[in-house]
Amino acid sequence: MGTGGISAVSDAGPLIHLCEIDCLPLLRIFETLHIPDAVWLETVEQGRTSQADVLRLSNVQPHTLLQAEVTQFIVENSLEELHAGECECLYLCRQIGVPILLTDDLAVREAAKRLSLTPVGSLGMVVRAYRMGYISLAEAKRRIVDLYDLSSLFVTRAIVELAIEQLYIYTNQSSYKNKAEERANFG
Amino acid sequence: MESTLTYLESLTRETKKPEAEVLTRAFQIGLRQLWREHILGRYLRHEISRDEAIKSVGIDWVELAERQHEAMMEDLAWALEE
Repeated sequence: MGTGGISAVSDAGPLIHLCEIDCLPLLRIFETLHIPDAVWLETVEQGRTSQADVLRLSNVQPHTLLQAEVTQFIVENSLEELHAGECECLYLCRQIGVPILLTDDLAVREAAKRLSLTPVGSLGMVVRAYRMGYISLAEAKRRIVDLYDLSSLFVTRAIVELAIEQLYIYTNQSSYKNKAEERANFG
Repeated sequence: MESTLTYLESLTRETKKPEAEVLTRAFQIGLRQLWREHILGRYLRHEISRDEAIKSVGIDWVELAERQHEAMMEDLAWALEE
């Protein structure tokens, strides 16, 4: 997959949820996928994500962090409510200057935004893979439904339906725009 | 993920309740969830007011739906940006 040079730090949620719907390879949309030790422990070490599948991505960069620095970061940013993996992700984003944090946790999304990071969930990754041309519209729709039906991601059905509606609106608008540009080019 | 039959078998065995009772509860809870999702869908599509949604499913579910909706819109904005 071409990546467009985007790197991200991943929390446990997207690794688990994308694995549950057989979509882990979609993480290749990122040039580098940074994973801190605590997240590796929550996912691969606990058997919630296949180690072979993660390593097969070939863009994964593991990180061992100094716990004293992470602890200080937690205190300075009032992150005591979050889990170890989530805190390590936020710290890692700051430390290596990566602005995108992959997470499916609403509290972590809020914390990321407070730290001027861009949180992205599993749904966003599926849609991005579609926009980059790696999966079809039909597959994107199926994968979004799978996130609700098959994965352990907690999301209400209405959100899934609205996301699919928005995806179709975007596709129709893009198609209309392309046709209009073609007509303009032909005078 | 577990299959529906596995859930049923495990629940009847572990709760020591008759299968019919488990199925009745599953039907009631499932129907309540479908109703909740229907109401939240109508609220997020602006077909009913926030107050009506809260009266029907409670403030906790409405607030959760709002936060999930915001997250979904942010995800789409990032994913579809040119």
